[in-house]
Amino acid sequence: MATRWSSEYIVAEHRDLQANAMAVDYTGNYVLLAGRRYLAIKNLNEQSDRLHKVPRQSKYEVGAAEWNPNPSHKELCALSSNQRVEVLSWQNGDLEQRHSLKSHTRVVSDVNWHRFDPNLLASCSIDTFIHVWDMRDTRRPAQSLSAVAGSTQVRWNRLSSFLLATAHDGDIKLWDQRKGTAPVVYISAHLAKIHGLDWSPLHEDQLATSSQDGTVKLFDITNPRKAEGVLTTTLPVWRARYTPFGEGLVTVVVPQLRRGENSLLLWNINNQAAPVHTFVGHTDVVLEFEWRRVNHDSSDFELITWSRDQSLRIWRIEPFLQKLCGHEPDMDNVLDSQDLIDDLPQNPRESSLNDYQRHRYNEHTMAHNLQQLTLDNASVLSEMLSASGRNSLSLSLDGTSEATDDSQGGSVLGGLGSGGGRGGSSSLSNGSATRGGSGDSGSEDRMQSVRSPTQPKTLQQEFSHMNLNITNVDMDRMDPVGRVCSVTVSANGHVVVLQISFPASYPFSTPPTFQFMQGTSVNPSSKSKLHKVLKHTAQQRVRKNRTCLEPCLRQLVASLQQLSASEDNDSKTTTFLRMPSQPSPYMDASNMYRSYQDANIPFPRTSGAKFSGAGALVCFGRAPMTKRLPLHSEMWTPRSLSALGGGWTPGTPTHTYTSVSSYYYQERGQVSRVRSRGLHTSSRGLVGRMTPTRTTRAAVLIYDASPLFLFHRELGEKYIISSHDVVGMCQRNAAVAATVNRRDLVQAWTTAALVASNPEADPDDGVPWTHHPFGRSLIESMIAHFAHQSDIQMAAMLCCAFSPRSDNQDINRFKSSLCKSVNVSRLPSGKWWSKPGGSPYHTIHPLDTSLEGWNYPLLKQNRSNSWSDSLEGLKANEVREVGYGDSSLNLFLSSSEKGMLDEKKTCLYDEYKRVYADVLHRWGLLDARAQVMKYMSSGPEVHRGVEFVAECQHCCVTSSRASCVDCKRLSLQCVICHISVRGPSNVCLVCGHGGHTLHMQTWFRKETRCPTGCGCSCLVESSSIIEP
Amino acid sequence: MVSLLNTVDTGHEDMIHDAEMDYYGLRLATCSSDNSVKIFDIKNGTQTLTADLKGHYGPVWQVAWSHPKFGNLLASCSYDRKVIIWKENGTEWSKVYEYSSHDSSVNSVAWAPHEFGLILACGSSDGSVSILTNSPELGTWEARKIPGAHTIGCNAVSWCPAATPNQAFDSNTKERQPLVKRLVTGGCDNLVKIWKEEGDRWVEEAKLEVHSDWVRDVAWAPSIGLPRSTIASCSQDRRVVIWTSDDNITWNSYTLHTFDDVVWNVSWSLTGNILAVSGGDNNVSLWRENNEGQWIRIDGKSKEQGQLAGGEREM
Repeated sequence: MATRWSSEYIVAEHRDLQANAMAVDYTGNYVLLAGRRYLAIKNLNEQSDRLHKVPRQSKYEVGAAEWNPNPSHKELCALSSNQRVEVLSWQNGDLEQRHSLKSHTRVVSDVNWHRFDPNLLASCSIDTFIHVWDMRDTRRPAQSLSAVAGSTQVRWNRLSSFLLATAHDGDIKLWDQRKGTAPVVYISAHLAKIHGLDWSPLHEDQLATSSQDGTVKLFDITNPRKAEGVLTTTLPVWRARYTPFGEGLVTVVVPQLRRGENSLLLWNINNQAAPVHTFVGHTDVVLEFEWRRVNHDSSDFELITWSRDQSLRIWRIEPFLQKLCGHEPDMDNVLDSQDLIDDLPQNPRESSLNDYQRHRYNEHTMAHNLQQLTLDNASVLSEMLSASGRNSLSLSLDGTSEATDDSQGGSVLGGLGSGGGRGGSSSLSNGSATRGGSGDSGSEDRMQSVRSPTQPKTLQQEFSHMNLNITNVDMDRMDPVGRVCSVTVSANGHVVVLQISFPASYPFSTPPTFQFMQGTSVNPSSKSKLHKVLKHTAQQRVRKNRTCLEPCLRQLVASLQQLSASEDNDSKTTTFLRMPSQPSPYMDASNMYRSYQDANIPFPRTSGAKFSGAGALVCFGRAPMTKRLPLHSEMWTPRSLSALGGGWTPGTPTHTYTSVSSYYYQERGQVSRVRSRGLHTSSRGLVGRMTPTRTTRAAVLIYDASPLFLFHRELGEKYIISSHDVVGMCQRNAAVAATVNRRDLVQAWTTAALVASNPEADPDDGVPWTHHPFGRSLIESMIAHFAHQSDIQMAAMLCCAFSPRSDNQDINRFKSSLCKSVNVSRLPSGKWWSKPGGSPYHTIHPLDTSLEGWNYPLLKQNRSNSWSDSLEGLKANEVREVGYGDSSLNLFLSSSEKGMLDEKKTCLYDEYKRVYADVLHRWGLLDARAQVMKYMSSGPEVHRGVEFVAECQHCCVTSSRASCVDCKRLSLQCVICHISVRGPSNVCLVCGHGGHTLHMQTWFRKETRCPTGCGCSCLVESSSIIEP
Repeated sequence: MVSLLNTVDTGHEDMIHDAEMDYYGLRLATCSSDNSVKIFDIKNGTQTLTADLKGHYGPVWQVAWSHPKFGNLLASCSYDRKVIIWKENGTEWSKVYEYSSHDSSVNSVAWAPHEFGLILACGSSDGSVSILTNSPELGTWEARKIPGAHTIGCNAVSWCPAATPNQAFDSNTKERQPLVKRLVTGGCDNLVKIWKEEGDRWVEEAKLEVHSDWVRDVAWAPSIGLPRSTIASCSQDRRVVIWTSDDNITWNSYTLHTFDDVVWNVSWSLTGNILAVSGGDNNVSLWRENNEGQWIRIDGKSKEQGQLAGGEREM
């Protein structure tokens, strides 16, 4: 659907007011303009610029303003200012304050009069309350609704008197005044903040929301789960309001967001693809707009807008515009605008309208439409000329009567029917290029029906809508008639003077031509690169019949900056112009689509800190700029990427167009404004020209965070582990700890040394040393303490010191032999191994009772021989299973066999060692790591390859150990020498007999049959199995 | 307490979104909106650019180094919906695998604990989480998806450490139980979810609900063997929440702090006792649990000190 353009027909500037709120009263006669310093009332029916100004003594801005919509109290007007709501009365040319409503504890964000009851006013605030006030008793709210979240908008339903809606960030709550305890309906409307809320004037259940995410959603409150309709714009939407006629909706963009897009868009609700009309003219963003009827019995409406450019504009809404919104003032049936447009050439009524308009158009020398209501002197006039500039080409000062004269309506509007509008404007820019008959232009319109809503149609329009504030770009000449413009782009010392000529068929698949002019300072190779970039960008755009001037210029700036950046660095970094080297499938998705998708993508992280390696903290962040302007607590970083608008274009040159960095300097601009003006109305703030400084690249900072940790690399290097001499080890390590000034560790090691050197206990004392309070429990509590402190180094070292060193071959076997040997060795000394009942199996076998003796591996050889057949490989806890018939022994073994550390916690202690080994690994201390790993109770990695399992020849039970668990016979016994086989062995696969490889070899050198005499011819049988 | 070792001028042309050092702390990988990933050798306060990896067609959100026992592997994820695994061969870096089965931006990548093998988890704005498993014999990558892990989108993934604490107590059974793979994810549904691998499926084990806005990052604390799991999560609601559990099923929450701006990054130290937090206010703060079980900020007093400004930071 084609976009139409129109300009306002009345403009009034009020620069001194600095107003940021506007309201139109019930009658449509008076407009209230409210700012921090003045309140002003203007009578729209008087053709003068006279204002009734009332100075205001307040340090707060006016947030929202609204006149009472009921005729009986039409003189009342409510304003929100900081935490108060002021109710003013306009009577007899005098504005006086009636009430000051105070109950909110934070800034009041919105006020709304009840649609039917003239005494009721609702106000909402970010203090999470919605108050309903009764003008007859204003001391306190008549009713308070408590929402959990702060609310930004409140609106009474226009048809039902009990219903009101409030907006809370991205959600809508609906309240029934009769049941004020909780919202009756809850709508999760948007992912981003909702800026505006409006009820349909025609349907009780319909509601429109406008949001930061660039969409306007239409909801049916009876079905809150899903929006009935979505209007997608490319920019965040500040307000969306229903038209009082037909099924239309007018939207404006968020004030602070972007300069350059200041138009109001008119939509038909039944056609959500594109707006049906655009109101162009404001030079800054529209802050507020309202409707009024021209007079009470007429069906004509006017749109009154107040912009940050401090001008008040009145736009006539012609019947044909109303028709576009499906409203037929003269006819009973409502025409769908889509049909209307489709029927355009065929519909005689419509084409006659066009003809009429064109006729009027010529008669009134094209622009005609702008009328100066005001203005006392010529300087303002010239200002106006330059302000509304290229849109309106001539002014007629004498046209006051014409403007208000309804009969002239058709001519007073710039945006006529599609054919008229096109013909008119193109005739201005280029006498013949795109001009055509009405049928012609109609078909052209259809051809371009997929264009984006803000797409300008002619070169003239493209020029006029271009954002001229691109950094480093100066537009030297813009000649829409000659279809040429010239630009000077400068970046980092480079200057490029570019002349761009637009062929007649531009932008329909025809790119403009670029030519470098005198004064260009880049070298020829860069020139050709830049030229390539420009051509590529232009091609991409015009392929979709889009205009390309602005993207091209932005791209040129970006490329130029990169060019100089890469020259500044050195040749190491290659010049990288953003050229997509390969198209990706989603690259062609439209901007809108992408932006919509970005709503789910979180806003990019621009700062972070990660612990890495052994003790480094890697930080990155934004440039230090923000330091000077810390973010206001109310202003949080948006959550989704869609906040950047536009959408990112992977791989395409427009990528630089919106990137996070651009967000950041924008944000800074905002922040400064917010700070200067206090808490609220940040979004309605006045002009704060942002100075787009290039965000300097922040570096990545690597910090040494190791002082934060209790483990220490130097200690890791110097600590020794020696299970042969635990006391010595502890003392040595205490000395090491002293060298790095860790007195706590010195103390711990000294204590450990004392514990290890078990004191000479009373032989009669029945308690073993490990069970002594200063024995195992002390060590364990020390380990637990250090582990809790996350001093993994100390915890692991203590574990190593007091745990048996594993003999990497077969831990279990080793452990069992160890504990048995311990029993044996300790019993005779009788010092601290009490033995309730003793054990008859233990032959007395005096051994050295040196301190570490019990965990000295060599003890194996000195063991008593009474269990010689089961010597090898009995796991300590399998002793129980096997059962010797002596339960007291088992009990004894299980309770005191273990060393200083509780075996139940072996896994935990292993974990400490593993983590410490990992730390050592990161430090690159591989020897120290290997030392620690030796003390793991289980091997570092479980063997996952083929395993050799012997099957007992007698009971056919497989056993991986040397003896059969059932019969205790050796599981692998050499048939030749009759001793157990360790090392290389060979077994017959058939009869299962075998033994030492050497013995077998010697035997089978001469024989072919089994040495046992079982009759098996092993060589033959085995080979037949292997090679069938 | 913390001293600056290096200031690395990355030369990225746009915002940096992630930076991570490898296992030994010798290399730095950074990624940026300029679509590139860069790798630096860091030594004695100097750095040299060793690789500039270009292969993404959109801003790169996150990078992750694998455990060195698999070689020098780096995973990166991007707005262009792709996950790329890069490998160093000699001095050259090359793409070894590219995964492009997500329908929207991939926001987070995390390597599993090395005990499980070479496994990568990826969280995407299409709501799903992918688990890519490398088979060492064939060198191929097998992808498994948890579809709809988070409605709207998944913003962060983090693995449970391999040594699950509750196994430390089952010591009487000498055989270690097979390790269970667990993941924690955070998403736009304001939830933190814990996933457990059961057979060949990933099932939701717990759903943690406290945050009132999008969860931006989650981090499972490294375990030193203590019988307790700890997870940190941070959110658009400006809060950081510490979750603790003894059995991985019932979780207790503790709100660390409500910050001035949204929090989008949490990171645990090696031993899991210090938490680094950063967010939209461009500050980094460090937190430690004291003996009373309270989390206290340990990096000085004022905000300004944590500010990531220009390189001067004293703590």
